[in-house]
Amino acid sequence: MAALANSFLSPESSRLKPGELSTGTTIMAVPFPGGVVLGADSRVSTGTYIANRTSDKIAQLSSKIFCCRSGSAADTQALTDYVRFYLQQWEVETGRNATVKVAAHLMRKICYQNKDNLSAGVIVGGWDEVDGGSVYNIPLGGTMIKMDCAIGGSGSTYIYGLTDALHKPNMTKAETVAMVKKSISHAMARDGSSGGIIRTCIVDESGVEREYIPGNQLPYGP
Amino acid sequence: MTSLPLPPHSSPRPLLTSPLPRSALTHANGIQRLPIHHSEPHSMAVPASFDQQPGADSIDHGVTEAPYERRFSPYDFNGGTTLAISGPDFAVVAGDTRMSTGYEILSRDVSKLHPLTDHCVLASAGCKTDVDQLRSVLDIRSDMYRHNHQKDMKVTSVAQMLGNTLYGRRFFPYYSFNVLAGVDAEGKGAVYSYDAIGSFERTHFSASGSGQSFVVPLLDNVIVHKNRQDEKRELGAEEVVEIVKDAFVTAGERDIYTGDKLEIMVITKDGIQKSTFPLKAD
Amino acid sequence: MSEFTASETPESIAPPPAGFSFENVKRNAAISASGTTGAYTQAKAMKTGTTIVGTIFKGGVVLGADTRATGDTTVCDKNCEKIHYMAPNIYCCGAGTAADTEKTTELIASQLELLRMSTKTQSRIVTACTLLKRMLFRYQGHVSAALVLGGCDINGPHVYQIYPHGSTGKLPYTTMGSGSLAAMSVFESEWKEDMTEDEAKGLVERAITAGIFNDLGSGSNCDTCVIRMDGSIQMNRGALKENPVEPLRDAIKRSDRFNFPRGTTAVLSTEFVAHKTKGLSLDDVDVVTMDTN
Repeated sequence: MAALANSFLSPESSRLKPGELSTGTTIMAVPFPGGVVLGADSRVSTGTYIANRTSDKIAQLSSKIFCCRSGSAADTQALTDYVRFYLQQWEVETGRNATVKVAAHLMRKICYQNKDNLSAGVIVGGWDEVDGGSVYNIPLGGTMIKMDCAIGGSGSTYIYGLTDALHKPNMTKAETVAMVKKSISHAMARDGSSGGIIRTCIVDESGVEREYIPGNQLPYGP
Repeated sequence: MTSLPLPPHSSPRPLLTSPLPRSALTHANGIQRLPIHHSEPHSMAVPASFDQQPGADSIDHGVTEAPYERRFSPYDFNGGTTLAISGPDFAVVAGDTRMSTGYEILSRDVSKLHPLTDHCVLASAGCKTDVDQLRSVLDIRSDMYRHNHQKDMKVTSVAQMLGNTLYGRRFFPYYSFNVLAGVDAEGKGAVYSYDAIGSFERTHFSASGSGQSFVVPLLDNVIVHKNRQDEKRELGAEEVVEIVKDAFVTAGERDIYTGDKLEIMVITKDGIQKSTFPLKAD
Repeated sequence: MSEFTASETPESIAPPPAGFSFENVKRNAAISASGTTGAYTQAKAMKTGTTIVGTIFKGGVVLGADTRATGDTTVCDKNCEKIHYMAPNIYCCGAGTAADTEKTTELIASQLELLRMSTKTQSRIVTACTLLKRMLFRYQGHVSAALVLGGCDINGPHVYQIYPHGSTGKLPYTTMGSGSLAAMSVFESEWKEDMTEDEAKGLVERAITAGIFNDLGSGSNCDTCVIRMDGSIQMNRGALKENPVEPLRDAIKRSDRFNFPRGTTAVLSTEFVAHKTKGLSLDDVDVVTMDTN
């Protein structure tokens, strides 16, 4: 099942080069008034072998901007390394904190310009003084969409209906966190290339909270 | 060596349509195509060679290769080496007992030797399922011979029968590399070597399987006395057995499919004597 | 004293430009495309079908590797070194194409040394990891080096896994190579936090042994390397030798057919023609005896 999902179904792994590691993944980011919640599973696989069962797919781009990675592990790591570098440079030059919009646009630009060589689907989310919590989805081709609830990765196909049903405007922080954890655990239960633990990242004006749920304490699971 | 009738024009020749997918014999491990005895060099277009797709990468079981899609393939290469040496009044036949696929060991104790009569042993490496099928076909046919003729088959007859059985599957061959050893009607040691589709000849010694390229040059020198100016002398069965052990230890050092245990059978007019010898397990 | 300095450097021995040369790529592709079999098949690189592992313990890092190198199904080297030096406090196990793992680690080791000279600080494991992943990502997986990087710096003991395409992961324990599954099964069943050095060494040896015996691409001996927080290194070549051939050879009564008395090889010709080199030789100069007074 895992191999099938990997080689035929999921859009991102179909572009993988031979031997490339895939973060056959479930990732998610949801803004709430005053902040944003990002979540991801932790499985990294080569075919049917799990290369890393506790990886962190939520990468930090600046102090309050994060990014969920899906697709090729090598491509998305290189991509986030570049964006982190450019954002840092931008912040030094302008003397201001980067906004999520700036970070997302930068990510989109690199994804679009290198679309022939990259297999990377990312979700950028974070908090800034201008827009509060916001989330941008940047799927494979390099388009960018601002969303109220973004999901991505091979596991996301299983939970479109669930997230549509669970998501309400103006949820509290606690409600949003619960929704993210529940959605990802459902995807992990059905998708062979998602699994392990759930990592979450909650960003608001006061700071960043990073948490994880061990694989045997998920809100839903087999 | 027996030559197969070839169309008298220059290559590239059209291939006959094979009942197998072209990828049938593409293995990362060991033998890429059936090694068929040839009388002409570079005549690779003989129908039985199920060619590898050009540029098709073989499967690498390390970390560097992709998640790969497997098509059904009727053949697997299970590795292993067999060897037989004839003497004036005996034949020694041996095989290792490792059975593997890819980079995996399936068993450390599966015999490659199969006594067909009291004076004749078949040693086969290759695809184990084909070897098993071939053995049962030969067992049945030698039983029928015994019932029809009221006597056991002679080695020469078994040799011809094996050749016929293999050639019967000319266009969907048994993926097995056979060596037949025994003592003939005159009590002399007899060794026959085969290709996969039934070409055979009586030889002084024969080795086949994954480690054959390490064993053959060694025995060419030690047994056949090739490239030697010093005096040749007759070897007894005990000495041949020791040489066989040495040859297998050497093959096991360099061939990843040879190892675990060596099984040796000495065939004389009085019957078959069995013994074993340990090999390395890595 | 005689002088042998050539006046001009022939083109053939001029230093090549830096970086990889791709001048034969088109030619080789054309040969492959022509479908010629037999004499013109492409050269295959030596792979290290390998088991390599690394784990942290209470006071440092233990790396381990088997010592078999294979080319296709043949064993090319029965006792090769797969634990490479990166820095005095960092070592790196390599799996994949032998040349790639050796040259990649060599190159990054030299970059780290230059960095140490300019910053006058100890190399950090993350730095080594970043340099390696940048190089591997640049070559998009064509440099096939799968690495286990380990060492100790001011932040403590670290182990990283690095894949040929340039993705990395920081883990408490990891395995790589064709025997990685066999070795990982040992780690997943026995690994625990804050092991002692002896426990960690034992675990690494068991993991490598699992690879040696259950994976045909791995074999021979087990090498280990301990890197401690106090800065000391213990490189143990042949920490475990479970596959000696001597007992087998000793059990064989070796035939005298393996001895070759003088005269075994036929002498075909005894003519000797000295090779005339293209450049300068002793014949081209006046040889002056050295003044030894």
